[in-house]
Amino acid sequence: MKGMSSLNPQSDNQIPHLFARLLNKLQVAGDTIHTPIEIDEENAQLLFIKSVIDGNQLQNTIIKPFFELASEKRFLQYLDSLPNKIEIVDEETLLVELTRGMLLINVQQRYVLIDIKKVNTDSVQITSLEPTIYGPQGGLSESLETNINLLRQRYAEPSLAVEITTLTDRSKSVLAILYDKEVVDTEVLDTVRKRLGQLNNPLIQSTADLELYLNQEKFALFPSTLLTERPDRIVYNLAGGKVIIMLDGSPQVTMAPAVFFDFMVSMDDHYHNFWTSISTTFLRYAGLFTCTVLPALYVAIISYNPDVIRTELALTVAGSRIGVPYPSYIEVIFMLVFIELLTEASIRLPKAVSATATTVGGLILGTAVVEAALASNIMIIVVSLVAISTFVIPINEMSFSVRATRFFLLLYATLFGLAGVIIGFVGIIMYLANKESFGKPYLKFYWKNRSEEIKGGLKK
Amino acid sequence: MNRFLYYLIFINMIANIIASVPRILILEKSNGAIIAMVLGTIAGLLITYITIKFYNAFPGKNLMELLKIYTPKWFSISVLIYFAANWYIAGSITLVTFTFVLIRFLTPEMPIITIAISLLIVVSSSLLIKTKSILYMIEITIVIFSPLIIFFLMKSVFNDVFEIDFVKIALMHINELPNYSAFTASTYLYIGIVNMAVFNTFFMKRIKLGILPLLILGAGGLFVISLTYFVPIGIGGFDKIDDLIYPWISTSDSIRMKFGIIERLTFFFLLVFLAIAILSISIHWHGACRLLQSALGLEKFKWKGHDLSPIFCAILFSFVSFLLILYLSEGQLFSYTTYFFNLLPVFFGISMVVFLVIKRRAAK
Repeated sequence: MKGMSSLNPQSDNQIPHLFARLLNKLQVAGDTIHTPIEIDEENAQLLFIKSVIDGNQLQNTIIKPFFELASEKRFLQYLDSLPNKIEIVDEETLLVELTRGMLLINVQQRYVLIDIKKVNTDSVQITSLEPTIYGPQGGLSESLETNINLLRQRYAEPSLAVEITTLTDRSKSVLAILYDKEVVDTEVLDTVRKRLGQLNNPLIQSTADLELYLNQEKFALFPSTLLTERPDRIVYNLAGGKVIIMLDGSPQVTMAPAVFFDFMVSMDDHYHNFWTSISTTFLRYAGLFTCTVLPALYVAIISYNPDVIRTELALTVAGSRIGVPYPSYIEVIFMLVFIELLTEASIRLPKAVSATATTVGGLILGTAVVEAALASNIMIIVVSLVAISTFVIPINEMSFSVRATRFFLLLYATLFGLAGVIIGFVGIIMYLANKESFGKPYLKFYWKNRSEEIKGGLKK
Repeated sequence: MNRFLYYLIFINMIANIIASVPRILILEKSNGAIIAMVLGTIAGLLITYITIKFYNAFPGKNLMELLKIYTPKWFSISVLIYFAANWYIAGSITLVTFTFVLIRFLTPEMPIITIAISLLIVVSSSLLIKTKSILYMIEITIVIFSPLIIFFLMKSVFNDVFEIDFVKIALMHINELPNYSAFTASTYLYIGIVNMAVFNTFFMKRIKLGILPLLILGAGGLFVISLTYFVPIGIGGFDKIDDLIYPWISTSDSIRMKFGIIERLTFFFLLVFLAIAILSISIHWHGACRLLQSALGLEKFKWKGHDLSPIFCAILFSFVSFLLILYLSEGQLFSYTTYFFNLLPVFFGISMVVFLVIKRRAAK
C-alpha cells in the first residue's frame, strides 16, 4: 500500500482515503488537526499537527490566499509554485514529515505537501565549553539550518559541499555532512559515509552520541573525532580538509579525522602574537605532561627512590609526610579520587550550589586533611597542581581521557617504581601512536605540509 | 634520506651505550680499540650504504616479500629464521642488560621478576601494534626525550671531573693493531640499518644516497662512539676504568648537578636511556616477530578472524627472556654478548649474499 498509486485520492467521500488512513495512524497524537476550508463551492482540506507548525505562516501563506483566490484551480497553481513545497514519496515518509511540521493539503483531488514548520531552537548560543578571550563569542544553535547558515556566512566558498541525510533511528534526525570539495580527504569522506550507513542504534540524540557510535571502537579511551561548538574552529578545520558532521538539535558538531594535536589547540592560539601563542602552547603541553605524570612520579619518588631528588627536597618531602599513617600510593589515590569527585560534583551540581562544593571541598577539607595527617602538605600541592593542569587542556573530551590515563600511570608507578613511570609513559605513547582516527594515524608529527606527508614519504 | 631511517639508525647508536659496547671497547683500551673504532665506523657506513642501495632497487618491498618472490622456499625460510633469531637476540641483549642495570642501580630491593614484567608488558605489546605505528612511536619519543639526551651528553663532557689528560693517554694507543672484538662492537652502532628489512614497506620514495647523508651518519657515529669510549675514561681515569662492569652508569654517577632538582646525573641517565632502550627493544622484537611470522607462515594462524601470531610471538619471546633473565649471570651475559658481536660479520656476510641472490634473480 506504499507507493504512488495508493496516493491517488477518492474524493467522493467527505474525507479522502489517504487522510483517513493518516488520521487513523495519527490518532495517538492529540494535536492532529484535520480541517476543511471552504468558500462558496470551492474547498480544500488541511491536515497537520498543530504543535509543530507555524500558525502565522499557515494563516498568511495558505488560508489567506485560498480565500483571496477563491478558486480551487488557482489555489492549486499557487501551491505548486510555492518554494517550500515538498515532494511526496510514500505514506511512511509522509507520516514522518507530518510529525516534523509539514502541512498536507488536499485540493482538487491532489495532495500537496508544504513545509511550514516552526523552529524554536534557532537562537545562537554563547560558547560555554571552549571560551576564548578573542574571537567570536557566539557558538552554534540547535537548529541545523541555522548552523549551516552560520557556517556559510563564515566560509563563503562555492566548493563547500552539504550532504543532507536522515538517520534511520527513532529520532529520524536530519544529519548534514559538510566538507570543502577541493581540499577534503576523499578516503576519510568515504569512511564517514560508510560508517553512517552502518549505524543501527535505536536512538541517537546528540552529536556526542553519534560520535561514540561512529568510532566503531568498543574500548576506546581517547576520542577519535573532535566535538566542538565554535564556528571559527569548524571553519578552520573545514579549510584544512576535514569532514564536519552536524546533527539537527545539537549545538555541537563533530569533525573527522581528529589527531591528538587537534585537541591541544585553542582557537586563541590563532589570535595571539607568534611568541605569545608559542608560549601558551608550551604551557599547555607542560600542563598535559604534569597532570599525567606528576601523581605517578610522586609515588615513585616517595616510595621507591627518594634519593633521586636532591637531599634538601627529599628531606622536606619526608618531613611533610610525618604522621601520615599509610604508604604514598594510598595517599595519592585517596586525594586524586577526592579531587575527581570534586570536579565531577561541580559539573553536575546546579550553578547556585556548585560554589559551595568548591569551598567545602577545596578549602575546608583540604586544610582539614592535612591537619588530621591523612595527607601531606606536599600531596595537597601536587593534587591541586594536577587538577589545575587538567583544566588547561582546551578540549574537554581530551581532558576527561587524560584524567583516566593518569590512573593507569599511577598503577604502573605503584607496582614498578620510578622505572615504571617511564615504561608506562612510553607505553601510553605506543598506544596513542597505534590508534587511528578514520584511517589516519592519531599521534604523528606532521613536519612537512600534510598532503605531501600523506602522499609522499609513507605508504598509506 | 627519509627521516624515519635516521631515527632507526640513531636509536641504535644511542642504545649501544647501555649495551656492552663501552665495556668491550674499554677492555681493549690498550689493544687497539681506537683504530678498531675508526675501522668499525667505516665498515658500518659501508654496510649502511650497501643496504640502502639494495632496498632502493625495490621501493616499498620488505625483505620477506622479496625472498618469497625471488628465492626458493628452503632458502627464504632458513634465512628468515636466522635473521629473526639475530633480531631477537639483539633486542634481548638490551632487555636483559637493562633489567640487570635497573636492579643494580635503581631498585635493588625489587624482585628481578617484577622488573622483567614491567618491561615485558610494554615491550611485548609492541609486537601487537602495526609496523607503521612503531615508526610514529619512535618519532614522538625521540622528540620528547632528545632535549634530555642532548643535555645529558653535554653534561657528561662539560663538567668538573672530566680530565682531558686521561683522554690524551687513551689516544696514545692509536698505534696498535685493531682488535677484533672492539671492531665488531663498533660496527654494532650501525645495526639500525638492517631494520630496513621490515620497515622498507614504508619507504616508497627512493632514498637519496648523497655525500651529505653519509657524512651526517659518519660524523654522528664517530661522535657517539668517541663519547662512548672517551667519556668514561676522561672521568674514571685510564688505568682502572676497566674494573667497572657498567662504566657509563658509574661514570654518570660521579657527575653532580649542583642546581638541579635531580642532583645525581645517573638517575637522569637511567631514566632517559630506559626510554631509548624500550624503543630499541621494541624495534628489534617487532622485526623478529614479523620475520618469524613470514618464515613459519603464521599468517594463517587465525581464530575468529583475529591474527593470533603476534600474541604467540609475544608469549614466546617473553618466556625465553624470562628464562634468560632468571638464569644468566652478569658475567655470562657479557661473554655471550661479546660472542654475538663477534658473529656480526657473519650476519652481515649472509645479508650481503642474500642481497646478491635477490638482485641477480630480480635482474633475470
